[in-house]
Amino acid sequence: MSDEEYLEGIRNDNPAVQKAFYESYQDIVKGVVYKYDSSGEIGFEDHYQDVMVIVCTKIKSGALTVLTAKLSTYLHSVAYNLLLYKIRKTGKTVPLDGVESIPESDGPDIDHLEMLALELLHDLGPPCNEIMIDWYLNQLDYEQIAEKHKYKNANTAKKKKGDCLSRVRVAAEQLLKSKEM
Amino acid sequence: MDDLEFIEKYFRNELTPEEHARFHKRLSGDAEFKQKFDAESLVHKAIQFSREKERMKSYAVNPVTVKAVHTQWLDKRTLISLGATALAVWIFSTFSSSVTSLSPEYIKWVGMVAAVAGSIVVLALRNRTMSITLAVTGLFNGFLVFVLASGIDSINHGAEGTPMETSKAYLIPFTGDKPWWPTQSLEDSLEANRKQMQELRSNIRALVASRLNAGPYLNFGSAAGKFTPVVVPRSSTVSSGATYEADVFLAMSPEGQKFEMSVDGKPISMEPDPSGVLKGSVSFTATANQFDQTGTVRKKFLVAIKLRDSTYTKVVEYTIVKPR
Repeated sequence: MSDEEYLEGIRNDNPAVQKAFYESYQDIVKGVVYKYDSSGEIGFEDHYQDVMVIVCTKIKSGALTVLTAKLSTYLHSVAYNLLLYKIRKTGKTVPLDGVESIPESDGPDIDHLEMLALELLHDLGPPCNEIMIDWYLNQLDYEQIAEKHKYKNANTAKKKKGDCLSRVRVAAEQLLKSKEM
Repeated sequence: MDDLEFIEKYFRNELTPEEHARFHKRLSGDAEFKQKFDAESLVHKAIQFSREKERMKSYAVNPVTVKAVHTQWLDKRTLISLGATALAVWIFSTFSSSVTSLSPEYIKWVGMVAAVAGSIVVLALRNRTMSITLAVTGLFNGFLVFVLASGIDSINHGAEGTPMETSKAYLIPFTGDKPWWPTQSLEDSLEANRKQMQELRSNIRALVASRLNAGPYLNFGSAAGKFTPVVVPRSSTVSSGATYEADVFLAMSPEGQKFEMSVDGKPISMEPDPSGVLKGSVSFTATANQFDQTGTVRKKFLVAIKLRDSTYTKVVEYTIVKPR
């Protein structure tokens, strides 16, 4: 499958293409993790999912529509930058021995908001994440959410969503403050 | 509507054009509103990530069996897989014929079963599931692999230098009764040997005929004829002290074969002698008008024996002596 076919399939939310995409680039990210994370603290599986989440979201939101280089080059760049961010967070230094220059990615860089959003995911477990996805992304109303999640009525669903949103808002504000400090 | 509801409506794409304009105006001029928007953006981004992450997790444990988008009909990977599978099927079938000494009639079925079964199993393993659609796809893939494998087989036999006729260059003659794999079948070999023997026999006949200088070779088959010795004296009268000379032949009269005799073109009758050999007799009055100085004259007559399509001729000379 070509890079353009991957972009089009992911943009159109084709699960088969997204799955093929997910299965095709493991070696690239694995290479980055094993090469630059000598401490072994960054698990490959989690890191790979984070890279895929960022790239797929960028493609779907329209931030990544055209590539001037290969998709694999862009993925390599995202994997590397995200890995640096995570290593820095652990307070350790990145060994520069044998570090090669990372090629220009020719795509949108990971921004600060995306790094924080990955961290915020820890405060967004089920069922809150499912309710929020249905509310914001699937554009369901409270009655539909109540029916889908088997709540008593729309008011219950609204209250549940409100609780989840309040909790994640608090977590987001704390995260933003901690980074500002 | 408070600020958070306002921002929430923005992320749900529910703002009217007027609200949209007001929203962007506040975002650029109201620091407190901007701060709330950043926090809400972070939440919204986390929700987006959460959806993708859930999907990634599901890909890791639950395979998705939806048709893949393929704008290219046969890409490099597919072609290499197809070729490699066909090669594997061909090797498997060829070794099966060597190890089990299966006849070519059955090897083609071994090849087909291996190709179809292999394709279905590979598809099932790759998709980690099985359905009717996958099975049908595997079936057709198997046929494709089978045809390719038979092509490899034909190339192999051609490369070995096996004599093959163009008319025998067939791949999958399921409609006929001839085995196809290996291409040079047992029946083909027997047929080729038979032709070779026929040619050899014909060459030997021609060689014998030419050596004997006896015209076309006659094949009397296994049915022998009647034989009799023939002694032809050079002269029936010999002076005392002179040498008696005669030629000795073994004459044969083939049974079941019609033949005719003639003298100077006139047919003569034939009668069997005691040994059963058919014999014709030459009898005529010897006459001459002129004689040479010794009182003799040389004459000749033509004897012809016609057997089948061949005519054997002999010119016989004789001397007439002038009466005293």
